[in-house]
Amino acid sequence: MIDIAELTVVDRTGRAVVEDLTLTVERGESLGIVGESGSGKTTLALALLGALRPGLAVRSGSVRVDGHDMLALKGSRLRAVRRRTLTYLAQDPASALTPTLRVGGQIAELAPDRSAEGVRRRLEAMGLPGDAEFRRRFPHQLSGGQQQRLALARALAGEPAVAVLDEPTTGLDVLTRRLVLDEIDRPARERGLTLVFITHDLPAAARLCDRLVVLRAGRLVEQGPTLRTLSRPADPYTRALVRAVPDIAEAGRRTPAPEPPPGPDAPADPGGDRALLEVRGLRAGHGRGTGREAPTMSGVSFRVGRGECVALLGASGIGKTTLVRCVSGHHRPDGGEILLHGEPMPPDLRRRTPAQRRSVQLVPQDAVGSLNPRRRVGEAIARSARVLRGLDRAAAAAETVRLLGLVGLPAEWAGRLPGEMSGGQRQRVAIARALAAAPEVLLCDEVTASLDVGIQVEILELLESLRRQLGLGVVLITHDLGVVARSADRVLVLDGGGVCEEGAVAQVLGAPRHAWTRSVVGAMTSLRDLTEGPAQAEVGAAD
Amino acid sequence: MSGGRAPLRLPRLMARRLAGAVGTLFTASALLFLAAEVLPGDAAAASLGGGADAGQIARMRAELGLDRPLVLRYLDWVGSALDGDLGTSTVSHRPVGELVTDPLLDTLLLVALSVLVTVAVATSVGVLAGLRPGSALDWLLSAGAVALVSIPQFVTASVLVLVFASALGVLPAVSLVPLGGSPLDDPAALVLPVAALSLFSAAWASRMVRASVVEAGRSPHVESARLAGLPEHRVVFRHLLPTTIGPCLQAFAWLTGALVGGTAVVERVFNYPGLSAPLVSAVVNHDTAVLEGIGLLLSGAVVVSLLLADLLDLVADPHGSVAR
Repeated sequence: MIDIAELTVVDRTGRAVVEDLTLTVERGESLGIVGESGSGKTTLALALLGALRPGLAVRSGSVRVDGHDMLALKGSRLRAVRRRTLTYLAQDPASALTPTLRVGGQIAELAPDRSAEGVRRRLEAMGLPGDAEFRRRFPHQLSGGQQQRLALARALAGEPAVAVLDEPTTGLDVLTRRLVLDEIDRPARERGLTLVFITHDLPAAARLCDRLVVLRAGRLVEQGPTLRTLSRPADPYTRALVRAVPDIAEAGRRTPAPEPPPGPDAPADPGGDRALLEVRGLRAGHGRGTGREAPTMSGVSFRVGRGECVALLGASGIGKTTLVRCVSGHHRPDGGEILLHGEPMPPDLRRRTPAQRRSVQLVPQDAVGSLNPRRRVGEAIARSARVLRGLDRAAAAAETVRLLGLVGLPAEWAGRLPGEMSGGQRQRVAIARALAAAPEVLLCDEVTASLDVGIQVEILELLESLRRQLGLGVVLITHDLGVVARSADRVLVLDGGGVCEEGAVAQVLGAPRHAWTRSVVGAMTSLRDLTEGPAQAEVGAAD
Repeated sequence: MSGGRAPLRLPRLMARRLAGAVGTLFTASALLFLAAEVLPGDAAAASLGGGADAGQIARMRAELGLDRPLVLRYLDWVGSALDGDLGTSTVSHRPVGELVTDPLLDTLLLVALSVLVTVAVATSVGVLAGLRPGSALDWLLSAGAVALVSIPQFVTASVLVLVFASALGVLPAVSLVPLGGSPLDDPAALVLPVAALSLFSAAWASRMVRASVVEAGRSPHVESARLAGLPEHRVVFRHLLPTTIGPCLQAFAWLTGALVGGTAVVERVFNYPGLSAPLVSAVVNHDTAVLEGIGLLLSGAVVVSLLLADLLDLVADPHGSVAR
């Protein structure tokens, strides 16, 4: 069905983005292509559709889909193949919905049968209402889950034989990710769809694909049946990739949380049960005046001890980010108390003492937006060290070099602007900047979501070692239960404006009690379980 | 899964926009009234001529009601304006409404035609340039637009007269409209004034349209529509352009305000029978009633055009009806 022969794609400088790649996919087969960013995955996906990003050129080789030479086709013949043979789904499928086009139009435009009846059948096949009222809605009038289903219904409306999926689950929360995977899996099995699934999400690939291909820097490293490749990787790179994936099954195998070390700057009062950070009855909301929405949080309380990592879980929009922004002083709460070493802190950042500001550092979700695009990253990090820790210029410069090394960036990159770095690299700069203040509490809002597994593992190990050596307390927000299982000591689940479940990580992930937690844990695919047989019993037995 | 959001709250949003427009108009009227008041000179003295003594001026002030408090006079003025009475000219002693009706219609005709030309030209140029950013066509159109924006309007007008009236002789240089006639009697006379007004605004608006088309062209839904094999015209007209309507409408509405102001210059250059002549003489003669009347009518026209754009935006952009 798909035949890629000795394909080499180069960029303007002549560097190969995809190098000498040969690959075949049988009709009805589902192939997973995994690799880290920069491995040429998206270039390969677009080459299958006969499209290349500006600046890229094919040096040699061919791409044939169902007998069509995709790199040679032009104009209406290329469009006809894209319309009838191939379909393409990119990151966050719902973003492909044109906001001004009604539900019915989204489907009818691509379907062979454009009648109301035909559209209704397609919508209902995807688990959506097919009535006239629903067909007249605009995408923004649907829930998030309905948007994803509609996008999939649109992608499959032309009854394609091949679906090219380019990271469709990246950036989605656990439940939406599960929905998207299920809704791709079903038509693939029912209709014998040929799938090419490009991802860095190994558990998702394991769930959907018969066969895996591992790419690294544009070259094929390894290929084989999915389970065998994941359980007995032949290439060292694949082995490292598989091992790096944080897995929910790790929760039960964790060594017990390290005893909080006394640390060189331990408070004079070593009072055992006095928490490093404590939040009592925090209430907060958004908007003002008549536009004020119902409060996001109506009484959240928790504590973080020295060297402890507490994970915050909860559905999108439940207020996790608002909560940590209240703690960091960036969002004004409506009530409640925030205590550091047992001392209440003013809610307003401007009224906190320099020591309090230094002690609590936030690494925001949007690292790109939090870095001044005109300030070199070295200056951004050094400024934090100088202003908050009072280091002089030379000491701050030395500290910057040390921190860049700590987050795995070369020291000479201090002279770069944020725009000259990739998303993952900027994320690491944001972490280094927060660490430059030598905080006692680090608030991490989805800090690893945009990182490749390899870098993610490094960042998680870095946080782990800071916790052990310096007694750093970490509050971690993430959608990835694997990250929670690997890094957190305790888990708080937020729902309905408060903490609805709290406990040790093995207990919450192994035997969740709250309905939302149960649904999320159930939606996770454990790579370990797939490749090593049931480990669930072990998790369950841990509490 | 929740069953989607509540139905459109369109009527409520429209009512809110309408209330906002009314409020704006009141603010504008108050500012106008104040501006006319602080103009140097005195309406009573002006209407009596140079030889009046202090007693006569005081009697005239009482007769005109100028000795009453400012707030009361403002409320009086607004009250009668709402009844359709804009007061009486202190110079010609004729009702302001009667004095300004014909010139107002002529000016509005000029503005309306210029808005139409601006929208048509700016949309085509902006879309052509924006669909292929960085192409030779884009470069050419952008350079032309920047050049036109940077040239003052009276220079553009004079050049147009030089080329089309003096050198080629194909169009009349001035609009010679007989008293009581309408510029529509001689449509050829409208061409140059409209062109002089629209060139600048079309050039400016085409930059806005281009920016908005370029941005829409990079959105994931447009890329996805192309990769779904839809024909290019369908991608452009169904997926790309509809999402650019909102921001473009706003740009056009703001331009209407600029066009209303621009008529003052262009009408002088072409001797066009609009509001600029009565406006200038009212300023010179301290004819406050006429000044305030013309100001109110013009700001009313601008507010209405902004309101129209807001309402069209609500209808054209389904997202805005919930998001705002």
